[in-house]
Amino acid sequence: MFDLEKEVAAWSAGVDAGRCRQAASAAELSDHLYCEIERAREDGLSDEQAFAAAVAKLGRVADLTSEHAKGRSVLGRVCAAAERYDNAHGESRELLLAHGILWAAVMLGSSLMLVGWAAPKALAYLLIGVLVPGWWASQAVMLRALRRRRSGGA
Amino acid sequence: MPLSKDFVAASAIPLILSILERGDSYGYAIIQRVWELSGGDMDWADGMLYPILHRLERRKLVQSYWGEAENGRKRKYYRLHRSGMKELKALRAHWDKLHGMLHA
Repeated sequence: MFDLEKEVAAWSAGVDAGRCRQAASAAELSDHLYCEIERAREDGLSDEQAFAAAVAKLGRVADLTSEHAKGRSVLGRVCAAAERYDNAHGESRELLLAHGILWAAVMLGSSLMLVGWAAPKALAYLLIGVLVPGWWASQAVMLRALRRRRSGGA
Repeated sequence: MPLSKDFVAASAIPLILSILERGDSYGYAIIQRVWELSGGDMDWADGMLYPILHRLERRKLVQSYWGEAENGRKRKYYRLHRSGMKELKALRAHWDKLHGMLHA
């Protein structure tokens, strides 16, 4: 049995995304969604059909999220970029996270070791010359491989 | 008559401000009003309005407040600020100027 309230709440939670979005924006969009649903019901659609039509009219959650972030603060833009990144690499999130953590651990370990040896210059050279470019390059290679795999699988 | 995307985008702010000049309103009602005023020719994408409203709010041209809809649901309303009135006046002058130029 279709539960309209539950579906709207789930949609709203998607818009809210639980991190960057303000709950107020999600509440505002939920009200808009209900208005669309009511109009579709007046046209004779069932709750389920009305909900589907309203969601289609209001747009995909990802589009709304990035649209809302346009022209916002720096934080808003960062959040929108994170959202886009998440949408593009959602299924590889764990792999990318593990990669980031591994490199962070290597950088931290090297830093601690070189600070212990009282070699701050060597630390700076290592970080700027090797570790940061190394992290960046390996991330780029990995993203490229993921993109290839995705386009090959599509 | 389908209206170009550029025209719809350029006219959005004056339209929103002019609708709010006639009284406080909310997102869905503003979209409906635009559709009515245009005789059905201007059908705004639902998702496009809120970023504009929020931008207008940041520019202090409009002010929002939470109210209650007829059915008891929480609803965000927008009202025109004094600086929004000034902006609307300036925008009307610009569009009147353009109208005059097009019909000269």
